[in-house]
Amino acid sequence: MYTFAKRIFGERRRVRFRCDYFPFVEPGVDVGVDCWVCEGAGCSFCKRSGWIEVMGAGMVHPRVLEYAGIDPKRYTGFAFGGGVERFNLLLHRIDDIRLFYGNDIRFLRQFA
Amino acid sequence: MKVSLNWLREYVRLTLPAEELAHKLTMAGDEVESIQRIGSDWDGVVVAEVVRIDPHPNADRLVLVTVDLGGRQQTIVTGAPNLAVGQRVPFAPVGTPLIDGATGERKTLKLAKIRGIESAGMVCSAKELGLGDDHSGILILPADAPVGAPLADVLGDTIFDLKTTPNRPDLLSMLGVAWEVSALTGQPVQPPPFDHPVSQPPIAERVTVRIEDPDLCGRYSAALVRGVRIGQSPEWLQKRLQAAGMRPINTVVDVTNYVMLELGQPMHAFDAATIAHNTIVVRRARDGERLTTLDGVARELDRSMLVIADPDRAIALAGVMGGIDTEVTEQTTDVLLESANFHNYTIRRTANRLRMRSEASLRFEKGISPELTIPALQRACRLLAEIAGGQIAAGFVDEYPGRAPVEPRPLTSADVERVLGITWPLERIESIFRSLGAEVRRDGERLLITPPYWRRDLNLTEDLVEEIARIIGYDELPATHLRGEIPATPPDPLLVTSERLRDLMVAAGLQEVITYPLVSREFLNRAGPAPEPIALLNPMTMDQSVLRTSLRPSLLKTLAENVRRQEDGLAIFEVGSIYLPRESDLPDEPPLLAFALTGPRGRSSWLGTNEPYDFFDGKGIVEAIAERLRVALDFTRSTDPFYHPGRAAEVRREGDVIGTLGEVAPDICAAFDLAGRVVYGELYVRALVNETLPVYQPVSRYPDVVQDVALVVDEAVEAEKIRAALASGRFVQEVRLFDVYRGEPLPAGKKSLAFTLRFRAPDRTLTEDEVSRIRNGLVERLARQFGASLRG
Ligand SMILES: [Zn+2]
Repeated sequence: MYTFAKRIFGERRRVRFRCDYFPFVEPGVDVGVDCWVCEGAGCSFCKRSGWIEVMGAGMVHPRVLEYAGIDPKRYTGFAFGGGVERFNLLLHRIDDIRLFYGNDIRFLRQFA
Repeated sequence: MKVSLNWLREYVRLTLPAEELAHKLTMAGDEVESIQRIGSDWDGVVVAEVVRIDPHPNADRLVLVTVDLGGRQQTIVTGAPNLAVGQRVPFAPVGTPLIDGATGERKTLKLAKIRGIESAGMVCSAKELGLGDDHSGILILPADAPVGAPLADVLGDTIFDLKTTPNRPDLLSMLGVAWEVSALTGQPVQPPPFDHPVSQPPIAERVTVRIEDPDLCGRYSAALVRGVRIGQSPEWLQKRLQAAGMRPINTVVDVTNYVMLELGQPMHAFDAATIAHNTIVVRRARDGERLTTLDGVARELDRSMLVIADPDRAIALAGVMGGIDTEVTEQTTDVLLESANFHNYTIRRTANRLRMRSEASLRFEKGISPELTIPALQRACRLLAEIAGGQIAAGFVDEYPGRAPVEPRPLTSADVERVLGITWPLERIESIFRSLGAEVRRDGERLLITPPYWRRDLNLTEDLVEEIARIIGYDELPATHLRGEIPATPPDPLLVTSERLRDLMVAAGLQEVITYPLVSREFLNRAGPAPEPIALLNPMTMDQSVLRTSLRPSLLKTLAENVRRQEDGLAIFEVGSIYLPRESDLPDEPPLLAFALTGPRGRSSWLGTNEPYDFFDGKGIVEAIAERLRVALDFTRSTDPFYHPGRAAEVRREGDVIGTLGEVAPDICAAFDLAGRVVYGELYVRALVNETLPVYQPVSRYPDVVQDVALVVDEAVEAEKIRAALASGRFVQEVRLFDVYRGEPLPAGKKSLAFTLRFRAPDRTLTEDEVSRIRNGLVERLARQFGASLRG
């Protein structure tokens, strides 16, 4: 996760792991990086917190393993995920996620 | 949940500055979304005592108030109606930044003469201090507020806005938060006192509770309080409710709300005299049963809802809102306190259905512990005895059909290592769980952990391990890289083909779009009848209620929207799936490549005649795909009513129809508000997969001979048929249509098709004569078959 977050958001970023709840993992992790707009000082982009949540992650919930036919007593799993919209929203500083679903050519042409 | 640190200090010592504590909580999964500091901007504001009130010599509505600031007196001018000698009030000297009571803006208080008299400062309303909306009078402080003390010492507070995750209803209570702080800072929890006086006769002699639907109500506990004084709650209680964002109402209601905030158990108070036969029945509502709730709304209920009833009628909507007939009023003397555990989904559904979500329903929805009912009653009884003079009938009524024994959960160091990858001494683990309020026993190399009753989320080994990780701090866990081999996976040909198609389309100047797979039935059929779609059982909106069985409406809509945005010359494509229901199997989800073009082609073609896109642009796109993917495609006439008759083709591979293309029929364009010509095409991606590698063909050492031929045929004759006939000629390597002409000097109903033919022999150089003979033979054949004539 550290490697991934730094590759995507830049080697200079600090990465933090915070406990959070997602139903498919236990323990659950919220992966955050320090805000690259204000360098962690707090700004409107990071809602004054200095941190930006970029991904959910955690150890695959034993029930999920069971349903997939994997013995949770023998195996553990690590899972992580982030919305592609969210990554791009953050990286390109797009302020409205609905733009991704609007198919406005003037928006799309900026990226393709 | 709004957590007042002043209140929290009652249960646990706060040893860290507010920011540090907020950070610790946030990292441990209890996110502090914001910190509000009440009084941080009250520099210079102090507690003052009113010592004199004199009339203003020049104004009837103003008075001169002399206040004592602790040995020093000041006189100010005010129009506030609620002052009296002896009161303690907030006093702000000149220079203090205050909120303007009328406009809500923050301004610095300036030295001012009011009607000829200088005012040395002002006494403040709640609104001016940022404490609420009340600007009707000066905020009167408690009589024991020390005169001269900074106001921040008396009224200042820090409020955390705590975001709670769905698994932690315990954090919707002050005591729950206190346990969390305890575990994170090592300070012990001081629970509030639960004991209270009792009086005879006991509740059991008067009140009966019957649970008829135990699946929806796991526990119902009740207490009876006689001779309660209904009135205003004391200052401290009101203040705490306000800090948590609740409005004080009266002693009884305030106590039930206070206990809910303190312990997380919602409670309800009935006027005991209004309950028929002193009997509480917990049951499903009857279809059509009516109940007027506290907000005065008459509601019609149904069997999905749970009600509290007496033998005659429903008296409350369980966990959501009480009924108006049994409400506690000024006249109430005996109160029946309800502390129950209701089924979370039922409460949630009812509250959503009736749009009545409340602090109580919010807690029930999350599934609170049934063990909370009795401690909550004890606390409420104690408070009612204390502040409302209530006589607590001995004992509680307690129906508990949902009782489940709590087994201790075993945990070993190996479990922790398996999940977290670290070894942690059992002693440390033990102390973490004790700090969270759990009972821990040592059993050889394992711990037997009984979670505290308010934590219902600690069931599996993994749940326990998470507690260890988050109390230690996730950042304290070491980071390692993955080890082991990742097995090689062959690329999926369908994905590879889809990706190549995207690249080809982009290279051809088209813009990729992605549209929603979920559409409405009406929308789906706007581009002509589409196959019957799969409907969602529980759609979020009707606009997204079925899975699309066609890409046509989505692309046409995207085109139309962009035309409306003043974009001319549009060329878009999508690679996306459609969802076709199948008998007794999961739906088929074939991916399609679809494209749509409209307007002048100038933008994407540097050859750029600025003519509008037409059928041949679409065909050109499909031919380019065929060539690049090395699949042989043929075109035959299409009668699909989606297209303009005569300007549409079926695309075939080895005889099978694998797609269509053409100019969209005018009535369909109109349905999407598209004016002008629209070209559309779609191909099944599966049919374009070509995994064969090209096999080398010896390159002829002899040169090609190229000849053109222009043929005049009837309009009805398809160019493709002519092309195919020419391609069958001897030594013909390639036939390419390069021009279609209609009009003068050709007669009406005729068109001219011009082809380039490329001839080659493997073993010799063909002569022009030889080639001309073959060509003439082909022309004769075409004259017989299609009535074609050479264009003169
Ligand atoms: Zn920032």
